Amino acid sequence: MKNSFIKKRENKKERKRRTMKALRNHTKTDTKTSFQQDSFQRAQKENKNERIEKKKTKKLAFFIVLFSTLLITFAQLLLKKGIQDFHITSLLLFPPETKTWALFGGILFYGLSALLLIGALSLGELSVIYPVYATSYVWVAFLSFVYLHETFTLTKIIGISSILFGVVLLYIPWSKKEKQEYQHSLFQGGKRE
Amino acid sequence: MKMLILFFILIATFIGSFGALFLKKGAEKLNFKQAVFSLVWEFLTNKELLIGIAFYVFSAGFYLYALSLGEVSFVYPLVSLSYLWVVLLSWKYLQEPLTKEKMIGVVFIIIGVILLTL
Repeated sequence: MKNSFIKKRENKKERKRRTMKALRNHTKTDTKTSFQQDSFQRAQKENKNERIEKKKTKKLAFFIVLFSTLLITFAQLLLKKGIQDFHITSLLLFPPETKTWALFGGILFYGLSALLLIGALSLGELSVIYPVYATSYVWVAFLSFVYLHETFTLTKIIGISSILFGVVLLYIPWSKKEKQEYQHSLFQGGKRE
Repeated sequence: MKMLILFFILIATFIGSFGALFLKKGAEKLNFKQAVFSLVWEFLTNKELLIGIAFYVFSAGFYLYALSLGEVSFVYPLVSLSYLWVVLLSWKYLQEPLTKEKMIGVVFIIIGVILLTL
């Protein structure tokens, strides 16, 4: 057992030495082609890094959008709460029984979500990010189930799953078929730089 | 009456999607790696962002007018048409690829929104 193991290792070492020698010879004989190969490999590596970075920014944009939709639903809830017994006088006096704070909170949340949307737009594609905004409908359904005790009907469940399926369809091809993203397009719109 | 509501909603969604287009164009110019104050200044002086916000306000006006004409349960699902416009406009003007998956995804989202607001 032991002997065979040692033999194997030696064999490996030898093979390695041989390949190293061959490589050295190769670099000696035709440096030009090897240099070209090197630059080609480097370019490939850079391409890969770029692709990975693209993926990361796409992910980041996606999650920023999801977070901003959550903020929007909370803003809508707050606005609904605040506008129920709203008077112009309550803007000045802030009486504790009227919920003016909720109104301001809702507006603040709306602004924050708009800023997040702009931040996400600077990272990703508009045609992916904007439809993902529809997840706010799903959040609304969930929150109204939790807070307002509305029941889930069958049509609601089908609607939610359909929206989620659409969002997944919009997101997934971009991370999986990164290579073919331009070859795979149905039509080629406008001029491409 | 319903045709009139449909007409106004179509206009509102179309204007709103143009607003999204301008927001995207403005957001591409922003440089986020800088101090907060200068970033705010860049926000306020960015022409495209301001135009986009103005478009949004316009579309909100049309949307509110349509709401005053009809029921919420009819008007609200129609707003999801803007996703379709945005995908088409970003293909036309931003040169973003229009894939099969994207179109199917948008159709599914619209169906889901209609089902949710039924």
